[in-house]
Amino acid sequence: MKNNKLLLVAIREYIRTIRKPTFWLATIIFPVFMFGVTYISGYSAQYTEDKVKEEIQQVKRILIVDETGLINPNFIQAPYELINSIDEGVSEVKNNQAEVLFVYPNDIALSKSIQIFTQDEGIISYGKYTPVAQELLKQIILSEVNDPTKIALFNSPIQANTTYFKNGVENDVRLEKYIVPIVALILYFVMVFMGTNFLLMSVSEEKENRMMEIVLTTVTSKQLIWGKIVGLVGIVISQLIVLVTLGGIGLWFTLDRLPIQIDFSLIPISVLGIGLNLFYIFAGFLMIATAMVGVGAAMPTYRDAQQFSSFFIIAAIAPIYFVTIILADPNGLVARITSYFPLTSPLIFLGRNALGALPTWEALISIPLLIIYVAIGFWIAFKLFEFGSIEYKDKLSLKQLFNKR
Amino acid sequence: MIEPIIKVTNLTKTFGSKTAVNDLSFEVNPGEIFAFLGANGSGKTTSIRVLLNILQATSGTTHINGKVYDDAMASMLGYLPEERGLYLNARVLETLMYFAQLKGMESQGSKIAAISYLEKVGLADKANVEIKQLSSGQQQKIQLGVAIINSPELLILDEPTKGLDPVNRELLMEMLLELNKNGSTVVFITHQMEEVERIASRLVMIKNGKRVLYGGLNEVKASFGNNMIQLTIEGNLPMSDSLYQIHGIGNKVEISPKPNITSDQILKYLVDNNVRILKFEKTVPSLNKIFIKVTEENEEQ
Repeated sequence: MKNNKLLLVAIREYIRTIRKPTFWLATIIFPVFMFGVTYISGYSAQYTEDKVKEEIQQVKRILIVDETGLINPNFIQAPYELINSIDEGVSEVKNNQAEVLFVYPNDIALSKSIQIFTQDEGIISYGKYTPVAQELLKQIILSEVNDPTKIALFNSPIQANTTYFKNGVENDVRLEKYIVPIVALILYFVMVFMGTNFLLMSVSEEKENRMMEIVLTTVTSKQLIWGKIVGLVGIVISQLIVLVTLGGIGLWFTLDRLPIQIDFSLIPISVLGIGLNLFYIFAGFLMIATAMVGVGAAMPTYRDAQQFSSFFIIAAIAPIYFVTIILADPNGLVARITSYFPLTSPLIFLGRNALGALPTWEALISIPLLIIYVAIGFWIAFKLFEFGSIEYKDKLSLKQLFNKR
Repeated sequence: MIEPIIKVTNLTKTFGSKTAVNDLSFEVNPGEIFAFLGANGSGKTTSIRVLLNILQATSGTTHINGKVYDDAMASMLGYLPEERGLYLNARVLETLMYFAQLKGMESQGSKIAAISYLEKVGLADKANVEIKQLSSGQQQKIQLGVAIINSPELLILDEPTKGLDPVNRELLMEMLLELNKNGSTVVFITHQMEEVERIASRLVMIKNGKRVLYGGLNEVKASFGNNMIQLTIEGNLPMSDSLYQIHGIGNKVEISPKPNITSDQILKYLVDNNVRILKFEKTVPSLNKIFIKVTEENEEQ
């Protein structure tokens, strides 16, 4: 019967949440919106680039004043045109007789700058002639080189293949190696920050709807809280299925257009590593979940609870603010301290594990440590729930907490 | 001897320095309708919360069927708290079924019970409607439904008629009587003394957490003496500070005898004073009067 009650609460939590339009807004609309914004921004950047190229191709006259003497007049052909006077060139540009004037000053070797005069044609055209002037200078200098192989080499994008060593052994740093850790971090953020908010909402609504007293005569507070958490896990799994499906569909259509090619067969799969990552994710989820239960029970309304809960959310995502320090030295003082601070602990351990910088002894310590943190979190949450769940009008005070229920 | 279904023994509950319930004892017998009375803030709701193990007693014991209440006993309990609400975004039928199942009913049984209740209270057509779309009165019927969906052995209602219109109040009274007739013990907190007089057989009244009245309805009334006399006379009633006090003016008055004065002595006095008596009737004080008197007495003390 006890387990059935837990399951009943879990099923109810699951159904009531997935029926809310806000759930689907958060689950589908947000990622679709993000994808849309990214796509539109990429598309508009490409569109701007194409438009600028097109405009440049339509240019009829580009005037050049060469004070350097580097430019061979025989090399110049339309729309380029060599002239001698800057004033003359500026005047022609002003009068729309030429689109642009490039001035290569005689001290270019020192100043390393080119002067450009052109009409103001709007914000997207700003700087459009800069690469043209730079490329022209590059090609003029290259024209002095007679070896076509060297010219071809100069004009080719050069790739660098680096071999890294760690502890005397070659270290694999290919992108594929980081796919699993990146997925783990995304999973962490989805579970902890999207998922736990539903728990806060659920506890607060139970209080605001004045249902606590009736519920607590039919189930224990532990059954109620665990039921909500189990329901929440189901909600998060549903969210992940939707996200993975959407992501998969998106990837299917864009795979060949990605700037980076991924060979999925090269993704290293370590059962132990994935297991440890899942443990950190679940520990982080439970830790924030207990905080949400406690806050939801202690505050009279959802709005009050939401404001107070932001402290825990900010503390839990604090590692993002010093991520560069942790990346630079994953075993340094900052990484070590934040590894053992309760709210940041799961994310830092997860990150360090992802970077391959978590020593075995610390990984071994992290497991019982996080179990203890989660147990303490539950103890505090149950305590707050017992005291605060039927405190409908006021915020729970510390004094009340230390009195007998 | 019948074991009480509720037994509260020397219950004290404090919140910090404030004593909400002070050495309270009472028993409720199976099958009776029991009224739990007291002014606002007297400790009634706190006592019920301790009884249902939502709060812990500072001292004393509370038992239901000989045991401290826990959720395993949910199948025998129906509870309508003072601070009550509903899941506003949930549908009517699923809410009733959810609580029926939490109280141990099977899915199919819970559905049958829920539909049957909705038909009884005229809300069958609202089964799949979200609760927030119901009127206040309809929502109160659903709240009551949540409490009684399992046909509980013990039904505890904290101000069940609060906010109900006379028609729904009457419906509720009828339902409580029917539940009681079918074997449910009913404990209800109320400020409506006429409801107590109508359906309760025994009562307890507390003031500032302390028990001030306890026993059968008639017994409690009798303890205040059958000493009120309703009089209908012709002419004026003579004053007599040593025999009685007059309540009201005109031909129809109520008089209360002074201590140690009998109705016979008063009747004789009136006859001797040539008062033409049309009606002379000893009356029992109403519970309402007793409630007010006890409350005021305690305040004076």
